[in-house]
Amino acid sequence: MPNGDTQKFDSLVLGGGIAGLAAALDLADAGYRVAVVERDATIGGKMIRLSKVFPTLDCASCITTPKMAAAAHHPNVTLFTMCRLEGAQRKDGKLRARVTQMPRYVDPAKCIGCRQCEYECPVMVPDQEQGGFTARKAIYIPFSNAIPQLALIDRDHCMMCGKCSAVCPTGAVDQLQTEREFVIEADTMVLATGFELMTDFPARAYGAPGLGDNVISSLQMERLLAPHGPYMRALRPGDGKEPESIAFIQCAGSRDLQLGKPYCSRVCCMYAIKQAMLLSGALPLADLTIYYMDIRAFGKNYEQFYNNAKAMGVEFVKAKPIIAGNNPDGSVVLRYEDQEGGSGAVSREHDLVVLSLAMLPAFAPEEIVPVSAATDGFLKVPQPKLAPTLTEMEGVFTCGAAAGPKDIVDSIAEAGAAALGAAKYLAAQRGGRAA
Amino acid sequence: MQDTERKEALKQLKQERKEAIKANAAVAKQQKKDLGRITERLAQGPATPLEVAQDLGMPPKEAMWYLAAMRKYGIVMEAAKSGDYFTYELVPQGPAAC
Ligand SMILES: Cc1cc2nc3c(=O)[nH]c(=O)nc-3n(C[C@H](O)[C@H](O)[C@H](O)COP(=O)(O)OP(=O)(O)OC[C@H]3O[C@@H](n4cnc5c(N)ncnc54)[C@H](O)[C@@H]3O)c2cc1C
Ligand code: SF4
Ligand code: SF4
Repeated sequence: MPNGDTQKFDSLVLGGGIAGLAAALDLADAGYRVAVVERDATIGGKMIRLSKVFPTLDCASCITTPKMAAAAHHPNVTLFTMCRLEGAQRKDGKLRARVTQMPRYVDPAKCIGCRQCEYECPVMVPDQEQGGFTARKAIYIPFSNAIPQLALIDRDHCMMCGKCSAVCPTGAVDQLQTEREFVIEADTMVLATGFELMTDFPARAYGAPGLGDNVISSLQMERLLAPHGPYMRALRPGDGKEPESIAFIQCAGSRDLQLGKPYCSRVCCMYAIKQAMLLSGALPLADLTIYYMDIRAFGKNYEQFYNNAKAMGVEFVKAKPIIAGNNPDGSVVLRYEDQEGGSGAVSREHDLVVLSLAMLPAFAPEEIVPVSAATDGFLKVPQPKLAPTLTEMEGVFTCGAAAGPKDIVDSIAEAGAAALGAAKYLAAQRGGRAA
Repeated sequence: MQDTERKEALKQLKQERKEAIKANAAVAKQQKKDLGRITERLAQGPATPLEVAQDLGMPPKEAMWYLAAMRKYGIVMEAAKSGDYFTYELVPQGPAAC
């Protein structure tokens, strides 16, 4: 695609997570042509990186992969991965979005996803898709069900030895690729940019860069529980021990203005309960403790899910512990005020500690799209009760965690509403005619 | 772009990235050395990540990282459990590259 190209669609969906894909598929099924612009090398968002999902305990990959494949194969959907939105403005009734295609250093038209390059490459890099617990190479395919199945080179770690080019059967490696700019013209846009987990919690809470080898984030625990995880079983990363005692600290950064964010991240209570239930299946002898402020089991069947966890022996302790230190054997020392038992200050040790970290917005619209962020940083929705997917910009909708922390059920329900809003807008533009 | 032009452009790119290439090559060299030492250790028999770490004077977290990577790329496999730890052993005639 040459620089400066303009491609025309009915709708642009920004973000290829579950919310963006659901909205794109609804619009595409209604006959509209949709561009999905994703900044990552693969679509799927957080959901494709989860193990199983509450409250049904369905395998996340089994239900996300078909959606990803449906979007990739839909004749009305075009996927643009590794793309950065530079700006979007409405001009003469049309939205014009300036997009930069980042280089993969691999020709997508030639790569067949065989991974021979990855096996040959001599540079190992912590694999963030697996919580950093194993390695990938400087040239790699993000994971086995990534879409598209195309290799990319991580320039920061490449030593330009040429081994990948030498082994590639199709001559796909292209170290000379550069960024390319193009324009997407559309009538409507759906902002589905989702969330990120807070990364600087140790610095905010403890003024430290990290809290030890065996204090991990909730997304890292998802990888430990995933069937194709880094160890293919739940082991602690510090030394490979099968943990006998695992603790979850809730609201790490959420509901705490001093240490992080004042809002509730909504899904952490439920995913911690889910992870504890999955661990009790994987490690039946392990002690599982959830330290919580209040349990927020707000959705359909969620309270029952919580009660099932209690019945399975998961211990719930109402406390906000601090991480007091790490023992030479790798265990983590927690200290907390016993709020219900009246034992005062208590110390307890666990083999592995999971932080249910605050969810933060992944996208700051300033100077890119003329919509604003609310005080919590997530996208502002001027009519949160009556029209929660409307943004401040005409013909621009939002769905999923882009507008605030949300679970998958609510993200998909909103995606449907955003797609319907966009379809109505498109029909009105065309004098009431549907696609 | 002609072949000769490509070669020239690649040469220039390598020149521009000289420092980064040097640093990345140093990392790769150390990794190759570590992988060789772990492979030698496992050739003597299965070991837990802690044993690998102790025998090679490496932090246990690093030993675990290498073993996970070697497993991913088909060089080692999980073997019998020893106490709270799994042992790892070499895959017979596994792929040479990692
Ligand atoms: C540890 C953990 C476990 C969870 N478990 C569950 C569970 O069991 N059940 C459940 O219902 N929910 C669970 N959730 C919540 C679930 O992850 C979210 O509900 C869901 O991912 C929201 O989907 P989304 O598409 O809105 O956002 P995301 O999944 O974050 O997807 C957003 C996409 O947009 C892309 N993007 C962001 N910014 C840009 C940009 N500027 N340009 C282009 N693309 C961009 C991102 O790369 C990403 O692909 C869990 C969350 C966590 C953290
Ligand atoms: S770049 Fe070449 S070797 Fe690597 S996955 Fe693609 S086709 Fe295979
Ligand atoms: S050129 Fe870079 S990506 Fe390719 S094999 Fe060498 S180090 Fe790996």
